[in-house]
Amino acid sequence: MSLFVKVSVLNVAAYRFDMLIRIFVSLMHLVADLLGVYVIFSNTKAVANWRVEHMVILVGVFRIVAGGIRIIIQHAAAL
Amino acid sequence: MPQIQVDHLSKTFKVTEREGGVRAAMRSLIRRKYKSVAAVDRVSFSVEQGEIVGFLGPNGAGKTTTLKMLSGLLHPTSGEARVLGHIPWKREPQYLRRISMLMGQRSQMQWDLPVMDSFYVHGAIYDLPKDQYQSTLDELIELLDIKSILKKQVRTLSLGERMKCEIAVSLLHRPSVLFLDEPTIGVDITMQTRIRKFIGEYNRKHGATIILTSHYMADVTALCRRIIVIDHGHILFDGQLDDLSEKLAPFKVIKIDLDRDISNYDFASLGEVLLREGRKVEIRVPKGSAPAAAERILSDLPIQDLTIEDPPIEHVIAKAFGGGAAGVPGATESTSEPVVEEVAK
Amino acid sequence: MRHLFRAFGVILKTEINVMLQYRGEIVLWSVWGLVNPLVLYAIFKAGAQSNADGKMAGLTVPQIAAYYFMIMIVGHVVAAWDTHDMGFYIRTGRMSGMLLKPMLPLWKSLAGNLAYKICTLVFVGPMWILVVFLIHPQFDCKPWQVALGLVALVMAFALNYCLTYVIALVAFWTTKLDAVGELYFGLSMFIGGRFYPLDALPHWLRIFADCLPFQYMAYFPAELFTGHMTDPALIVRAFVTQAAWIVGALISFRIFWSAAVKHYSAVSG
Repeated sequence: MSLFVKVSVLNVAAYRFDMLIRIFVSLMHLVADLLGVYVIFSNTKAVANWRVEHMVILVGVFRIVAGGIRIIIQHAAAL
Repeated sequence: MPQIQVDHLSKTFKVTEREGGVRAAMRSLIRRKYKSVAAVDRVSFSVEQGEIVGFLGPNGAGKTTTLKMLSGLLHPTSGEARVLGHIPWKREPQYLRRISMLMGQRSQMQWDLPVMDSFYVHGAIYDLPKDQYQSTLDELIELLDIKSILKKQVRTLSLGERMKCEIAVSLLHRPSVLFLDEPTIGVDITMQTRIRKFIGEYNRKHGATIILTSHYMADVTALCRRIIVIDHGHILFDGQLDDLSEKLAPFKVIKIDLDRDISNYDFASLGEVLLREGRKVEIRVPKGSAPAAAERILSDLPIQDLTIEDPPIEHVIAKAFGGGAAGVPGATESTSEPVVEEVAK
Repeated sequence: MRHLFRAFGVILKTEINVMLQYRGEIVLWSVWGLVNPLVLYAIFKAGAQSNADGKMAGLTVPQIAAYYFMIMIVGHVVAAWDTHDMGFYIRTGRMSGMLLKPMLPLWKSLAGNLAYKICTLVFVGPMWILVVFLIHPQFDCKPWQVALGLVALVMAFALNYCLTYVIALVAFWTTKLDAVGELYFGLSMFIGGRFYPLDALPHWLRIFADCLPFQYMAYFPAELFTGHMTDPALIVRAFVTQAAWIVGALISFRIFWSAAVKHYSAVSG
């Protein structure tokens, strides 16, 4: 596992510009998710009884799981 | 007027350099170390129409980089070149239609489709008239013996079959100038012979000018009378293959098979002893003294077999590479004029 | 010019043949294009049903359905992915083979793009019809809006393709461009109207969206097809802006292509 992580890091770091943009994109995804929640809830108070705090938690869980998949499974599959 | 004219052509690459490991990778994110590599350094040569020139050099010598500049793939850092009257890196369609570059390790065919489809696409891209396309195709199919594989998908072909098809695709538009970068790489001996024969035949029939790079000396000896030796971006030798051999290795190798064991004969007095194993002896002698040495061996020793050979061309070339500019008489030395400092990013 | 059309036709047929080798992939890509709009429709529908007036961002549920249905179609038609492919071609050395030919690599890429759309149409067409029966979109458009919508759709594709290709040229310098492709795609989704109708965005975000070309790749044609855009002055202004972005992209391509080829270092042998 640690070998996969190391090789993934080395592969990503080999392309500096792409890596910087990738970091920015990851942050942008998080901002976009939260902005998305903001857009929805500025037009309604609830979505099928889910309130804004529920949505924020859902977004957080999704980001953590997606990040884990990206770091571990997706890069390992690419190898 | 030469068909290919190259004047002080140079190409310098800026490459990154770092140690292995994660720590070094992280360090290089902040501070990256670069190195300038002069892949080609002020090379000059010309090639007349119909010539086949062997372009030889060790790995990283600058052969492929030179071919890529002449085919228009790379812009040079400095210098000039004209091929068929065109400046290659301007990449004019009229120029690209008259040249072809075959890169042994790269496929230019449609990987997922039958071979015939690749030919058809190539014909459309080069805007070949229908009858010319058909007659050229028929000729290539016969010469390369690829009729049985035309309906096979390219990805299912063996390496030898694919190389033959790559050659066919490269020649479909009847280019006047061919750049062949290791055309026989990875291919078995029978196929190498076939490909060499075909290239020679194509040159004779159509008068195409060919620059060929190869690590197989058999390619060079079979096809090229003239060779250009390049190392570290400099031309070390440009001339006839025989002249290089004469200049670098003016020797003959006498191989002796004795009839019985001889222990007390002074073989070193004949020349340099290369091998002494049981009844087999090999001696290197200067070319001029080979007949006299052979006569003496025949009269002094009980011989079962005796042959006199030229040193293998591989040894000659290796000597040229190993000696660098100093290893080759008359090699072009660097001048004191400064290299243009434009560095490719 | 005639030669170019003939050659392009042959390349297009070839790309279709290549696509048809991988039918499973075609089905998967077809399904992928449906998922995002359907999920967002479901969210907006739920949001509208939670509001007293039954509307979300001024749209009723059937109007929301119409909007996301059109986004589904528009998204399929305007899709372009050269920001991902270009880096791959350069890193693997395939770009060298393309550059040796007397034809811009752009034509092969365009042919591949159109081939994808033609091949997937066989699968997405029936899926779109099924979606109509599932979500009951309400279209308020008139024939002239549909006609203008078709023009806007073609221009939206031209704009997205040209811009994507220009951005993809950065790969000649950086070699890898996947993250930039993701950034571009993310922006086009969020402020292009593919996530939400732009009317749902807060004012400050709408100003930001108006400064960029993304809404002309999705929101503008979708609004015409659904009949929500009716003001002639607004429509004319949108067309002019769309055309200006296309011209800008084409000029940028001419400039950057020469520079890119000059910088090409033919990595990977």
